[in-house]
Amino acid sequence: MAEYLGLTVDIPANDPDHIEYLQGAGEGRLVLQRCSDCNLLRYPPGPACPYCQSLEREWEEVSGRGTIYSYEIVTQAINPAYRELVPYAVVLVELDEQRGVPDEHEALRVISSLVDGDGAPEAEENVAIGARVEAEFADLGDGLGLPRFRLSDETPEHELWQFPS
Amino acid sequence: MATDERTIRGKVAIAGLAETTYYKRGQATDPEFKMALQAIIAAAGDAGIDVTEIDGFASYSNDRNDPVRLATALGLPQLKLSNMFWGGGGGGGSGAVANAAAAIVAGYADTVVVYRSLAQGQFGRFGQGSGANVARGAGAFTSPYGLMSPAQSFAMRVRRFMHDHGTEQAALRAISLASYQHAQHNPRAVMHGRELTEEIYDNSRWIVEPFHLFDCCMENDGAAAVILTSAERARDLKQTPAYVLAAMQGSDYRQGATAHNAPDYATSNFKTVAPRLYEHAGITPGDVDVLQSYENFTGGVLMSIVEHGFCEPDEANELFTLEHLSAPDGKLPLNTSGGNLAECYMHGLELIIEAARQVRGESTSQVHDANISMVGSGPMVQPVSDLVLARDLG
Repeated sequence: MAEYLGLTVDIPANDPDHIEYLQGAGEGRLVLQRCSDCNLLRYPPGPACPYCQSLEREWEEVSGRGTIYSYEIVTQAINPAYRELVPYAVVLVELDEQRGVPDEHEALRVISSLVDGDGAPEAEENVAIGARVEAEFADLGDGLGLPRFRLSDETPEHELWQFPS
Repeated sequence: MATDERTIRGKVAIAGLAETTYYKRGQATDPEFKMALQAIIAAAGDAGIDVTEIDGFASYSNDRNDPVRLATALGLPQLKLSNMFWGGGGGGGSGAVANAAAAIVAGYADTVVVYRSLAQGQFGRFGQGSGANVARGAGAFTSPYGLMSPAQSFAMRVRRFMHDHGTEQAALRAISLASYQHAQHNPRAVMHGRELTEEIYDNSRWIVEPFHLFDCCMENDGAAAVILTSAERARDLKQTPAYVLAAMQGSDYRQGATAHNAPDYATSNFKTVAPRLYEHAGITPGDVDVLQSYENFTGGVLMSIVEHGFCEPDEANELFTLEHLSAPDGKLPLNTSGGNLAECYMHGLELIIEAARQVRGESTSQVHDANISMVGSGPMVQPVSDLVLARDLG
């Protein structure tokens, strides 16, 4: 059974929308669904295209590059397995692909963890809205992986913003 | 104003209301089902009707005390409406009133009770989040990243709103201070006698930034009920009717995306519901005398009030001060019983009761001459709902 930080990841074989995303990550690829009819990417993966209602889709690898759209620092773990991890950053990453399509508010925004070069939670002082990030992958076993992000050395496109505490 | 026949405007009223003693979580001395019965019996008494006149039930958030069981326990001669608002947790509070009102207008039932009962000692904590050690389905997109509780799920939305609009922590603090101030006048409030100051708020622990402890709702035990009937009949009963001007439910474009991918992310999910509410009620935000706005977390209250048109997003720091939010004289008296933060987390039904008390002139923080009394249920969840009550049909 696939596992991450003591958390069992139990995705049945007849749930392709979820398991194939994690299988892509198991191969070190960030994959999204592209609608076979209207040709738009979507996230989260799911059985229907929210833009044209088609049920036909293909998986496609994307760059894994993006910008932090929002974030939070979790200091109180809910699951006991995560107690050793706090404080940790949860980020909402806006991917570079398909920003502002099909309208100005749309973007592919992915929930993830922000980790450092060793896969440990990135330090709070380095987490900011606007920071550039790139995908990396944690191994879950059973051929599955979990996409995570780390800071990249790219120049941010706008001024960084941190919660003023 | 929507003047055609397809509104409930003025056709139904809240004729009775009641609650049990409100307890801290796990401290109720009676079982949940018995508390539900106590609240319903007391609400009938408040309305001045016999309990056996109740012929319909509406609730929300999968309340465990289902209508058939209640009707059987109460010996009701017949049950005409068994209704549950689907989804949204506390976002269903005003929606349950909407369903009850619609059923009365449609002639399905004549006397419908909207109720909620919670005994978290008996059944486990409501807002605890998932401590389960397994991620399934769409949970694989959130829980492995350590995103597991309601506070954690909503903090990133509020933070993005604060980023977009320069909202300050002091604006969230004002919501909490107003609730606690109102609770000091309300002997039913669990936090009666527990004063909150700016200093206590500032020094309280973070649950997850931007939520201090006092930005988060309590978890409580208790039960509450309101009785709805036709406006015509309500006028002949014991209490001043709180007429339903409008009640509305809904959810905006793709707000149900579990992985936070709604295009409009920094929202409380009221942007399409509020305009429909105002249209059906025939009012504007400027007509509202007093507001009860569901607090799961203060940040959601702020976003909800903005989306109901009480101020522009960039003006929130000016509107959200203790002075403006306080009864009786504030610009926008808010959560005048103490609400989910300081009266009781009766899952927002206490807000609907308070809105009706304001119309009756019976609040412990009464707004002078309150006529239009509004409730917003469940910011940031999906779906959400709203209710407007009035003393005068105008």
